[in-house]
Amino acid sequence: MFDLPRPALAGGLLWILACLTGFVLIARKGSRPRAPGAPGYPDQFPGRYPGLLLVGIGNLALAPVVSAVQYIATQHQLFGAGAWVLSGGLLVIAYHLLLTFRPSAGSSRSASGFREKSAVLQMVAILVVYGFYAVRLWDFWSGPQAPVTVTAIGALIAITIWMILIGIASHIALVLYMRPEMPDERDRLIDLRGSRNAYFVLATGVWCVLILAIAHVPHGALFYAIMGAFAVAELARLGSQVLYYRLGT
Amino acid sequence: MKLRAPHVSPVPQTRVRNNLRALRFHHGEMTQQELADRVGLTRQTIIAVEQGRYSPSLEAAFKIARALGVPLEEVFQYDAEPARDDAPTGSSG
Repeated sequence: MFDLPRPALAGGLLWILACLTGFVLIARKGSRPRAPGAPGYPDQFPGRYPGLLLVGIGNLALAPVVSAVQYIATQHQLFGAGAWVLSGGLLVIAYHLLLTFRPSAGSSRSASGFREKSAVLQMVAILVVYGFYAVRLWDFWSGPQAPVTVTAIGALIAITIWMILIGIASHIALVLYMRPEMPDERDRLIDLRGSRNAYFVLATGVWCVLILAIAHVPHGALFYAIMGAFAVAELARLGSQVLYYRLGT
Repeated sequence: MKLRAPHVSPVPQTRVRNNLRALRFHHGEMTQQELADRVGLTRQTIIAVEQGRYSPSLEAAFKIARALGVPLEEVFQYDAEPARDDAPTGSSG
């Protein structure tokens, strides 16, 4: 069919089947009765966030179709569905977290502080700016390679400027929205724990870059890998801070 | 007959229980923000302590007890058993 490789076709069909099975399992879990007051999915499926689940599983299920279309168009690439898989997976995880750790009615747990909101804004800025350069990474592999120094320096300057601009703009908006507070002992503890978690992620990233260097990967790719390791470590720092704020230390 | 394990909250609770909410109420209905200002913490930290999501440092615990005008043991208690979801963290008011 459409001249697709058989293993890819079988894998795609299996993937779609797995997505649909996942949806059925979540729906079954959601329709199960529960004790009053117990947290979790039950008796509120699909809850207040049906869009997250539907778009998430939809994206996951569509991934093989996107890959097939890309393969038919280019005859050599099968990896275009990465963004679909990533976004779909993130949406499904977000749905799970929102329902599992949802704030109970009448609770003030949803009252998040300045620092928690600031961490979320920084995460969004990183995802936007580094996400843009992740898309550029595909060009690096597919197109003719530009001189490494020019691309690297340009990307470095642009990333720095954009991160500063987005950071300043978002924090000005946040200050207008709520009063900033001086950090207390809990803020400092959460900051330290976030940095500790980021260290492990960064160390893993450095090891990966070293392996790439030993494997004689082009310098330009190494540059992107290092930037990616920094971005993932920063996301781990900020993400774990948000989790500590929400779930406790 | 199938026995069901007791439900444990996905939100980790500390083993230090407290009566902060009740004591605030009895202390002139002090707000979380007022208490936070008195002891030098943020309101979010007071909320986290009340809900059992954060155990304050010894210094902060003494400051909280002093701000409420009660001994430390009246505000905070230590549980030998891990806190469960169906056992509230102490706020009774």
